[in-house]
Amino acid sequence: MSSEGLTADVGSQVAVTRERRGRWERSSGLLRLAIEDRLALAGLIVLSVLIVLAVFGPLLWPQDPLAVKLSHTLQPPSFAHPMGTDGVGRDVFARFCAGARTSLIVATMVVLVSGVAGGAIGLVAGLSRGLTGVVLMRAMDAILAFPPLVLAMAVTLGLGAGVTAATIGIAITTVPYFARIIRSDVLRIRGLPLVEATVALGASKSRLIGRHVLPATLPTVLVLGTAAYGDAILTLAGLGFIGLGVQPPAPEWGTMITQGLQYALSGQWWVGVFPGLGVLGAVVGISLIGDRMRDLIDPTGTALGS
Amino acid sequence: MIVESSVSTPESDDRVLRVEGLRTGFPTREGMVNALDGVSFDLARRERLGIVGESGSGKSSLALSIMGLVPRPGRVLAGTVTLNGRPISRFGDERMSRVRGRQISIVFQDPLTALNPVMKVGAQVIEALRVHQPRLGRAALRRRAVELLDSVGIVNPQRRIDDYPHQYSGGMRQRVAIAMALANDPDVLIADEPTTALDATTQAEIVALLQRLADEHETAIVLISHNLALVSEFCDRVLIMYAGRVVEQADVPDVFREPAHPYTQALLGAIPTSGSSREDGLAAIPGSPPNLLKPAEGCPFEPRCALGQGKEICRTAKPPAVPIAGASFAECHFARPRHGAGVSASPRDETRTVGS
Amino acid sequence: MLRLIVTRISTAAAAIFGASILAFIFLRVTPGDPARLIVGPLASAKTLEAQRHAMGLDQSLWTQYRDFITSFIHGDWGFSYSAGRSVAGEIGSRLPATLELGLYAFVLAFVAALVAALLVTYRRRKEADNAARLFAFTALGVPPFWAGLLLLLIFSEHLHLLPGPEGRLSLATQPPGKITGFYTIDALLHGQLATFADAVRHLILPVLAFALVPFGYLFRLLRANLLEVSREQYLLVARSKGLTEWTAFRRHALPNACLPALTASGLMLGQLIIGSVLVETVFNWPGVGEYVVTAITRQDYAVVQTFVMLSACAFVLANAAVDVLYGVIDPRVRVSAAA
Repeated sequence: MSSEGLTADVGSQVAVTRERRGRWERSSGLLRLAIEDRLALAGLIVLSVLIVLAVFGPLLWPQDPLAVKLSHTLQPPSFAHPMGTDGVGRDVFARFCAGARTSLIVATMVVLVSGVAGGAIGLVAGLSRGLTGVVLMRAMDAILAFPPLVLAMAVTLGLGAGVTAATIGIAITTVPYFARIIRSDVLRIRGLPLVEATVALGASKSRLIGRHVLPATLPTVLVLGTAAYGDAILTLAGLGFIGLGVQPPAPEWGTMITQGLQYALSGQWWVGVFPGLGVLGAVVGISLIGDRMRDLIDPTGTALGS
Repeated sequence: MIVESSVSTPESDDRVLRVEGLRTGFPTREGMVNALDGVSFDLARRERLGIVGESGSGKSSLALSIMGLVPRPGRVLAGTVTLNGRPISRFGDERMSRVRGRQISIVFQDPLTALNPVMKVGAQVIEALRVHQPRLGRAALRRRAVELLDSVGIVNPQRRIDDYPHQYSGGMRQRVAIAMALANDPDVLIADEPTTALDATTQAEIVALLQRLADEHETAIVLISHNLALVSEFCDRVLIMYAGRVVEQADVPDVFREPAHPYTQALLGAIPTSGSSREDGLAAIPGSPPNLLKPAEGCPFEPRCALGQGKEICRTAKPPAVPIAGASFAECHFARPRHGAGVSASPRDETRTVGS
Repeated sequence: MLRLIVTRISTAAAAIFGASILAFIFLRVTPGDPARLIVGPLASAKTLEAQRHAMGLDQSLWTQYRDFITSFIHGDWGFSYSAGRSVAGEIGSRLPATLELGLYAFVLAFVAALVAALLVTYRRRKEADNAARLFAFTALGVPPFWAGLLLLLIFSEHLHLLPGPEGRLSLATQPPGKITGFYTIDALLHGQLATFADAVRHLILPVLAFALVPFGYLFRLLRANLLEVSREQYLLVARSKGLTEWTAFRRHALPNACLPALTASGLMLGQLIIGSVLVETVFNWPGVGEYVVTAITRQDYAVVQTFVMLSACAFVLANAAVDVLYGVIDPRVRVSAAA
């Protein structure tokens, strides 16, 4: 009570009166609260549109994103080509949808792979008191020694440019964040008196912690996952821009922006502007959702830091 | 309706602080929470007034409202605070800042968070001095700060002045907070639960310190506490607060002998239904504090009251302030003037309409 | 204090060691045969063998790693055939351009973030806060090279207000004599106002594109810190002493909120490195990032290796320095580290 400090009395006055009204709101769940926040709702809508385009794009807009049509190069947006055509006459909208598919798939893979790998590493590092834990966390430090894009760049270069290499490269840069969170939760839970007591009674420590860690950590991991998802999309676009990501002619937002660069100054803005909007929409959409989730989980914003 | 302060009345010389019909609210999504719902009282020079109530009764809101420090989005909705004849509740931040710390000061409950952790203790004491005495030189400020720390019982103040707050214990930090509050000899000191966060021994030391300093500086003190034992020891007069209102005002000996309001009786553990008395002198009263979003139609204490629960009059009519003896009163339909005691017109009568 | 420095330096050294192994694996071991890349697909087995020997590729991995590290530490970073000179020389001559761009971008980002965070936290205007939050999210979601493209489209191609992607100066303008390597400062030092103006005009768009991401980070960080600090009781105590609301905020909340932002400056160096790679090419800015991108497309691996290693060293050391500095400034950290 004393630690509440500032105007504890005022706070309790407001809290007491809120209690009755607050109960039904809380019970109606996360989604409801996400919808109450207009920014998060906007994020949800933008992301949903992109997902629809990525999944059903070929059905909704049956044009081949790879079909070169030299008679129709650099057409401005029109009904025939909602986002215009590029330097070799390919339909930018079809490429945009295919690019959405690439970005969303890569980001999903990155989050899944790095989440599972990072979770496993964190769990092992937290449970082992010996050398294994130290070595694993030192390896994580080594990964964190690089600015994320630089490491992804090196990995992609080593494995040979392409979408698989890019996915692996981005996933590697993301693993330590998951590993650190899981590990600190394992350590925290292992130190709880209840857990120590149960272990003293003969329970299996690993199982016990596994059963307690996962539910307790899930919300944090979800929020981290949204951040990693956005970062993955951005890094993939960055790798594409450098020439290390998805290789042309396969459609990807980052390489599309790079191609658009040369036309931007001669007036054909649509080639590079639309794919950038795709990246922006996807990243902002997922971060707005993540931010709202973070607010719901941890209203003071202390657990995740910056 | 706001009652103008009457500076010219003969008794005003003796009244250093006058609070009239103070209403403070915090807007929430569900509506306005009325933390204070028409509070009035006077404070004489050198007087020691206790304010008692459960948490959530509006004690701290009262302290912050008087100081003009109600945190946004809360604000004072109505009423006046008059200090030394000046209506400080109408002062803007700039003008009020010249009053705070100079004429009226406050000590908060939690000493651990009262000091800026990255600033030396001395610098924070000096800040309190310099803001009101800008012409004092560096050396003089430092000398005064050492004196102040010495006067609140900090051992070896010349050295400790350059320490950081985390190097001080909780009790010592509360001493520093008191030193800062009294740095400019204010007329009024509000002490908001100054000992609640401390252990028993330290509590006694801090109370003794307050007592000594209040005597030395001739400071009037408003002691906010939920600890009736402390209030009975320290104060001349006591206000009992419930749901943002003063439900009883009484002199200290009387309130312990003959509490007039059922809430006070419950606080004192005077009636059997109130549950067992706790160590700190605060009885646990069954039921929970009232919903301030929807003020009761009748008496706010009715649902928990041993005397009036379910009674028609208590549910439907606001209880009047019934004069008990002297300036004492109780807001209860069943309160009666004490026999043999002369009852004067309550100073509250004129402001009764403000909050209700 | 000494203990803090020693532990921080040893963890930094461990991280750099680990990073060097990673860099070695991905840039020397997995890319296949760098010798084949150099001699070309048509070369005979004998030529290939000779090249492998010359590059030390027939040695054990351990020997190769040792050579890799020793030559890196000695500043022997190899020859860049895309630049036609040594990697060290080329990076050295390009560094000022990158630093000038980065410095202005970070000053802009910090000032803008601080002002915006103050505006939304001091008076707590809900609408302003939502607008600023949305802008910060947008800034963080924009690929910097795309922001550069948009800025060029609007201000150069469409409005003709600012120069296009022609580097640091117009073709007609001579660079000022080198003192610091920053064209703006050097031009002023030489009193060449026209050159100064030209340099500034060329800086505006890349600086804006560069500043977006750090602005987003810093705004979110400062906003969270300011909100947290403005709830602190010592702020109320400061006001109760007689400080006005703004003075109390300025003296007690602002420094305490900016202090943790210091820890982000290590992160910001990472952003500087990434930003340089992603922005410079768009503007033909002759900095390190543009060099690296060119080197990648031309498979000039010596450049990439050096850049990757240098990035890790700079990033790790900056973070370590920030931690130590933070310990110097915040007495609480100092104590907990010594305990």
